[in-house]
Amino acid sequence: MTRSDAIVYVIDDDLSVRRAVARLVRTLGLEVETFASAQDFLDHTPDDRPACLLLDVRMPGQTGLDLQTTLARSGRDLGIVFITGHGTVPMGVGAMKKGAVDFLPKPFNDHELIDAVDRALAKSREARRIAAERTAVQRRLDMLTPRERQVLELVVTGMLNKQIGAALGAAEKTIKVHRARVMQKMAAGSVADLVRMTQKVTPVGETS
Amino acid sequence: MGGLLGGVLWVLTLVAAPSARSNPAAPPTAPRHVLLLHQVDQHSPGIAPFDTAFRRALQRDASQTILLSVESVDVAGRGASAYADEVSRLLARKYRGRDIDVVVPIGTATARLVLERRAQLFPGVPVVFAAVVDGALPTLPIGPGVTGVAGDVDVAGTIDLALRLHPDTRRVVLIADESSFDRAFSESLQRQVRRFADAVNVRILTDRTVPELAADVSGLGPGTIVVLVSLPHDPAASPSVGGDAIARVTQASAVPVYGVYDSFLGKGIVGGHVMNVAEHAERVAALVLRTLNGEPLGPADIVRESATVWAFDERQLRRWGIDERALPADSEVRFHEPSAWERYRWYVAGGVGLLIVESLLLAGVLVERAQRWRAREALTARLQIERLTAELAARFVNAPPAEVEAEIGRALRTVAEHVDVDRATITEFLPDARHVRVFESDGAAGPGPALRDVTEFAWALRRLQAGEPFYFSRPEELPDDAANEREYITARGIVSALALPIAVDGAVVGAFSLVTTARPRQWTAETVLSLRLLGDVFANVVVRRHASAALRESEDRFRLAVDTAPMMMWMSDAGGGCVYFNERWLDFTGRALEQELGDGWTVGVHPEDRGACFEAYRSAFDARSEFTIEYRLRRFDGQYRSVVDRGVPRFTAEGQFIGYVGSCVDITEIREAHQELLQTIALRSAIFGSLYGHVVALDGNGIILAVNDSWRRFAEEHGGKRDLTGVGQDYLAVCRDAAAAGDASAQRALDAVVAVLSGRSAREVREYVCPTPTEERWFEMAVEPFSRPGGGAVVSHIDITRRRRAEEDARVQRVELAHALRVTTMGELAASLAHEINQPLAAIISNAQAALRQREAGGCAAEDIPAALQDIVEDARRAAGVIRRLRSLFRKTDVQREALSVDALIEEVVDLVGHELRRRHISVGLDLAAGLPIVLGDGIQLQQVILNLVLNAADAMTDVDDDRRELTIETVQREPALVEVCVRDTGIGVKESELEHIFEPFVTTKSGGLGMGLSICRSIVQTHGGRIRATSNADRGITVHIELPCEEVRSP
Repeated sequence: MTRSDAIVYVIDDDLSVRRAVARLVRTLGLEVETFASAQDFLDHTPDDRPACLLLDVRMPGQTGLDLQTTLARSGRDLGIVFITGHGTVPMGVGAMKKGAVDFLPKPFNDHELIDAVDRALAKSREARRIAAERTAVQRRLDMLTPRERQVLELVVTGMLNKQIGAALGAAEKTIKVHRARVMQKMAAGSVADLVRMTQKVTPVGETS
Repeated sequence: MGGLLGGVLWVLTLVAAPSARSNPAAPPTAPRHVLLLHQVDQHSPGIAPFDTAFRRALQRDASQTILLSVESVDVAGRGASAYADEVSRLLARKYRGRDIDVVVPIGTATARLVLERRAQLFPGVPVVFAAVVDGALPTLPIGPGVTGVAGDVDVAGTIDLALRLHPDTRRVVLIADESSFDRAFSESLQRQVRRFADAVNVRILTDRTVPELAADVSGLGPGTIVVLVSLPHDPAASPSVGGDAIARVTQASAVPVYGVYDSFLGKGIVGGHVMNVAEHAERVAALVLRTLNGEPLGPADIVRESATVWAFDERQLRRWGIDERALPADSEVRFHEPSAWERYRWYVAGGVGLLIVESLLLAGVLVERAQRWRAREALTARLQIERLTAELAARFVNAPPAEVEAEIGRALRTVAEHVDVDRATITEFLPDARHVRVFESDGAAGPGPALRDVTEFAWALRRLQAGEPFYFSRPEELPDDAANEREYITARGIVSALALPIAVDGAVVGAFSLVTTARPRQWTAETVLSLRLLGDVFANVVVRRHASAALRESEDRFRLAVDTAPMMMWMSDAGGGCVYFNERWLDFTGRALEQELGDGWTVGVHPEDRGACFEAYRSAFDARSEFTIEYRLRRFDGQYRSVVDRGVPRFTAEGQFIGYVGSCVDITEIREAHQELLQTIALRSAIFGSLYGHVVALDGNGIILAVNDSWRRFAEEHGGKRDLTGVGQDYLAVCRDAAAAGDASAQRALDAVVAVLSGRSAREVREYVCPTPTEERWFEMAVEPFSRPGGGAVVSHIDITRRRRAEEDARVQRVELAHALRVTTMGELAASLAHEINQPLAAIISNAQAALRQREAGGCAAEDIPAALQDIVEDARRAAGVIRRLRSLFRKTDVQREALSVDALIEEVVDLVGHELRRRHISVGLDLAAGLPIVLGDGIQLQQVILNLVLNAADAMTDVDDDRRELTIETVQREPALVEVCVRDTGIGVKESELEHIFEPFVTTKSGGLGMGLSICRSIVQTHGGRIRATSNADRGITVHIELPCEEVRSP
């Protein structure tokens, strides 16, 4: 896996730790940026690359955990690895539940860090891929007429044309035409394709 | 007639009378009448101490008037109940119709007599008996209303001791005359000596006269001891010289004589387990007083304990070579002859002592007029004789002075007729000791008195003047010494004669004699006794005759002198009654002469002073000696004034005593000043004596003036070669000697004393160690100047060992506690501290691994490796610094004294907790004055103080807004030798009322706080000689100020 397309951010109030961690990450061939506080990071313009955040838990001002929450709300697809001098188990569990990739107590060794950084970057990439797919499906869905959208919603539930016609009060023949147009617009080869695509934008079971 | 009879035949003494003024609210009460019945001759040894103590005890109760009648029933040693019957009959007759409130029979026989005939003699009258043999109690008919004091004399105990003191003893001689005690006493005695019968030969001497006894004991060989229980009741022995009889026996004795009554002490006995007669009397008097006060006492209140003590005469111990240490532990050794030291001490204390004696003279209660008569054995005289005596006395009283001498002649004739003798004679001794004046019943010597030279009758004179009567039935009975007398008697045709000394108040003034010429006459003891009364009547007449003659002689001259005298003056006659007071006296008391005459003046004497006043007056009177007494006398305005009364006996040209003349001076002011001085001295001496420390007062040359009790005790317990207990010792010399012997603390003591004595120093304090055999003790010696004209110093040594130990304990505890608190504080900071260490460690590892990876990668960015290594070094140093600071705080060390920079201490602490503070969003501001002077102290402890204050400040700011959490530490030079550290927070603050308490232990404003932190801070600061306090800030929070002494900054 190449790392050159990614970036690692290091946020720690301790300069010497910041410098040391940055130096270690750079040996992986990754680009590194360092910040002394959460606010400094938020003020910085985000880069559209897979990114890993090495975040100190305890800092003056906004803590690492506060920053995690803020980032989750803004939907930034970063992989977060916490590094802490005196972390506790509950603190770690809380951070992991909120999507952190790892929780490393200081001092840590390079393998742990490298592994965590890799996983964080992978997560970032995956997130970015999912986000891209969702964007494509959504764009196709946007091309459908309201009638075609109604037909799509019933097709993915597995109904036959005849049944759909009865449900919408249209002739089976008309439904068949709509269905063909939906398949074409959505670039779907089969009903199964169609179902998979709609699930990406709307999780199964939430269709109203 | 009745009153006269009372005056002559029994002693009716007013022992106590309440002052009407002093108790105006009390209703007037009739005098209470106490009848004291002696078993033996009142002049027996032991009786006088009993009487004196008994009276004195009664006198203490000034709430009522007590009349004391004294009788001697003389029933001891007389088996026949016929005699007892007769005595009872006489007693019944005499006291019929008199209200007796309490009867006090003394001795078992007397108690038996009274109790067995109580219904007839004293129906319903409470009885308080005394000196009853314990073993006799069950045999006495003790009923309701009867109580008393019983107890045995401890003959056995005394013999036991004597045998121990004289191990070679083979024989014990007991002098115990049976006539002076009864059957029960006799049995008790027999029982007590029985157990010695196996060990030694015990012999009881009875039925011996005093001269015989003296002869007996003078012949005793070694290996014998004598125990004197009682002396014979010998009618021929002088009643007034009982004490001399004991002395006669003890002086004659070739071996030690022990005794069983303390009244024998001082008369030649060694001592023994003696009954304290006075104590016994006091116990009896206490029961009498309770009875008089209406308490219904009975058999249950009987006191069965003889007041016996081990008492000895030091002179006798020496005489017989008895070691005092061999005596029982609680022995009293009396008649102690003071050692040189004790005399010296008296010299010092004398001033105080005299004042005390003076003030004692003021105390006392008594209303007892000096009595003319010491009556004896009224009941043993026939009523007939009583009548005759009374009649004669009345005749004399009524006779005009000019007729007295003729009246004496007539009286002698009456007596001669009455007792059926051929001649009765009164012989008056003249002061030249050669001549006598003789009155005779038959006028054989011519009308009126005749002068005779009696130089040649030395035997008779000596005997009479010693107070001893003599009698014989035939001239041949006279001893060989009396050859002259025998010759004279034979020449005058005298067959039998009886001669009684006549005495006034103990002084022999002449003799009363009866003579038969026709036939021999046997003189019975009873006759002798009853005739003595007559002799007394004549004695009084003889004395009175002189008194009135003398008065006539000098009256005019005297009056003139006295009335113009500037002080109060009085005059009494030979009988003791006052016959004259001068104008000044009358002006003072505001009373008429008639009111003051006789005993009238006593009304004005303060009731509390009457007792002592009369004791002094009477004893002086008896001895015809000059006296000075002090008492309070009521002035015309009702105020009692202290007066000094000086009395001088008056004598005629012939040397005949005719009374006293006295003068009084009002010394109230002087007395008050004296009292004040006395109290001051007493107070000071009490304070001095009771001081816990060992105190010695030195004069200007270092000579000991006085030491207190604890000094003396200490010196005795730890005395070195030199005696430091003695006044007069040279304290400096002692110190110098000890210093010369290498005692460093003695040298320091010497320097201190010298510094104060020389005036160089106003106070010197030294602490020193004084090793005792068991332990080391610490003392603090303080030397202060002795403010007095002669200079000097007061040195006190206080044992501060305990204080020292307490200080040491407190110090150790404080160190422990401080350490515990540091550990606790560190524990609370553990997370923060772990972070402090983990940060550099994390950095080090990361740097190292980065460097490794770069090296592996080869070439690629290899120039970064040195930078990484440099960072590693920095971080390793940083971690080591944290650990060093931590270790020092965890260390438990004794308090150090090192030169410290306060600023550096503060910076280190802030470094240590910087992370914690940042975590808590507290901004720290340091405002440290550069170049502060060095503080001497313990760095760890001071850092602990700062750490505590910083953390407290942080805690106080937990609940305030993040952006307002400010901690400021400031240092400032307050004074040349004082730096101040201020720790200021913007926290929630402390209530003004709590501010002053926050440094006390267990006071906390934090929930869950122990309340020890600030208290430890205070104690640490105080051990550094500093001060800690807290003030509220104007806006928010508090500031804690620590002031620490520092090295003085000298201005250039």
